[in-house]
Amino acid sequence: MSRSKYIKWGLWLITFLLIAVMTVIFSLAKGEIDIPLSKIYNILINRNNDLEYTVLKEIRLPRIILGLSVGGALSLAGVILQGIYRNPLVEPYTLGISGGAALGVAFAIVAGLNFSVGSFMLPVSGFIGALITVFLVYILSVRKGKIHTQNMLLIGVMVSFIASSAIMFIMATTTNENLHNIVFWVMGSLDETNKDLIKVAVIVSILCLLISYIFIDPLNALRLGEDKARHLGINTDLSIKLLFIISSLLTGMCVSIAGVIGFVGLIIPQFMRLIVGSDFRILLISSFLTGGGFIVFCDTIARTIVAPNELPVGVITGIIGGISFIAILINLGKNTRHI
Amino acid sequence: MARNKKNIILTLLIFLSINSYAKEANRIISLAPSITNMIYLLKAQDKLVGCTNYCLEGVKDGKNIVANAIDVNIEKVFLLKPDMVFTAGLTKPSTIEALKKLNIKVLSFPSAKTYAEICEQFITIASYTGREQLAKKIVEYQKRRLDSIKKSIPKGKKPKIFIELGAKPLFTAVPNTFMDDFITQAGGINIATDISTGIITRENVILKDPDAIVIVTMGIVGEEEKAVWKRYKQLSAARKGKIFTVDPYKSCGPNPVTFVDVVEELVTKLYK
Repeated sequence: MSRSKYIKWGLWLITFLLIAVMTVIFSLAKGEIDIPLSKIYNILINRNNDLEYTVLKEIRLPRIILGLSVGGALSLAGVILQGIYRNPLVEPYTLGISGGAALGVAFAIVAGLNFSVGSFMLPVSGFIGALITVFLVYILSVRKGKIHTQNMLLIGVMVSFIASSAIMFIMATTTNENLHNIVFWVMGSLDETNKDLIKVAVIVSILCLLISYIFIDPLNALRLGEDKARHLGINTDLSIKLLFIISSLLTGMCVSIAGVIGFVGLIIPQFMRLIVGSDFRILLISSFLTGGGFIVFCDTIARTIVAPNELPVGVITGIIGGISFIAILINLGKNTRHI
Repeated sequence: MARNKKNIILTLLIFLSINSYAKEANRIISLAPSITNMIYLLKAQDKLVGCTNYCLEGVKDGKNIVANAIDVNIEKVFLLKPDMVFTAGLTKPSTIEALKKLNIKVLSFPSAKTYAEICEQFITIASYTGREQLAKKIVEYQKRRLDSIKKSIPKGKKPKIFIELGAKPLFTAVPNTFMDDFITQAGGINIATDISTGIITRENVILKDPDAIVIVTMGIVGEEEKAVWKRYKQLSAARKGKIFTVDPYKSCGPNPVTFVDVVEELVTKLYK
């Protein structure tokens, strides 16, 4: 029984990996100029400084790598948070992390930090904003040294509202140019030209994936509820705290580099739970791989569907993710598993 | 018969002067920085009683602030008892309706698409401030200036130009905007003629291979963007070293004078 389960998981993993690789190749080939699949490998290896090499290496590849990292990170954060709260509606942005990051960026734009210090100040301020929000949510949810997860959720939602009101306030009192910058930043984009930021995204997302595997037992035990997990000898408080920090780090990183890309952290974990089941051993890595592939696919659509114009990637993630998820739920009908 | 003619002319003159007097406004509110800027250029700022919080001159002068980038404080506008409120494309139609319901005269200017339209709007604003003659003088002088700048452009193939208004996402000027007219007046061709909204892919810019890239921003962000474009060695603009920044304050809300300033700057940087 157990052995067949592992074989099944292995097969799923290979499938997801193959889908992700195929998406990457599709994304490399598609764009303003369609590069034939057979030529991509040669172009990248020969390194002739021609147009196709520049487009592949300087534009499409960095974008794909960032997409894989951000999609993987958001889905991972979603899985972990849904695990901690045992609530399928929780997503990385529910806890006010994106609101905090956006507030940080809005401050930086209004203070002109991107003009006086450098454009890297936007992701840095976004990350600081996200961390402050997380810290606030955490401090306010701890009572007598114990975390109250339901309180935490409510406080997170409230902090999120406060942050969006504060952003509205900033937008209402700032200049037209700043308003334009804030709106565009919030839309989200994977068009990042700073290669150091892309490296940060890759390292943070892979590290957090590895670290999250240390918490496999607590995550699986928490499925039974906090009390039962405690009876099984799990230090639930510490695990929840550390998992919360990991998911906050992941979300803060994504939001500060790529802006707000919705739905991925909500839909991919649910999707994966329907396909591979609720065991976190397979759920974490599957969500990571599928989330990455999903964003890369959506980004390819976003930059080609109305070419030479480009759509914000969040538009496509929302439409494709939302519609396909509803379609699957309807198809599963009454026999659908509870998620 | 001759007397009759005299009477008719006299009546007509009186009517016209009354009409032009009635048109003139003494308490003006401007809901757009470009309009405020034109009022200052016309030296009619004493008639300006309110403006937005991003009208640089008005804020500096301590004028009443009646609007921000999103909303207009209708109550404050009403209390200032303006004879005329000037608005531009960004003001919400519901706000304009609300002002009209309060019997406030509102004149909306759509976003100017060409230099000629900027001049027309300038003269219209001048006609409400009693500075029409001054406005016409300014426009005539600037048009002569523009002509002489255009004459200095070397004959030959027109350079393809990419004008960058924002970096993330990459944002450019589309046809039928005064930004596009900067390029036309400077003797160039906008590479973004086939796009409808401003967001453009970096790939598309590289494929169209502009001869020059104009970045409308200042400071470090402008320098960073220059460095990004220079990385693409195949780009003609990078090879020719024609990647430069222009002043966003002058180019984003131009009047008849600053428009020509920007074209002059462009011509100097493009053909030197």
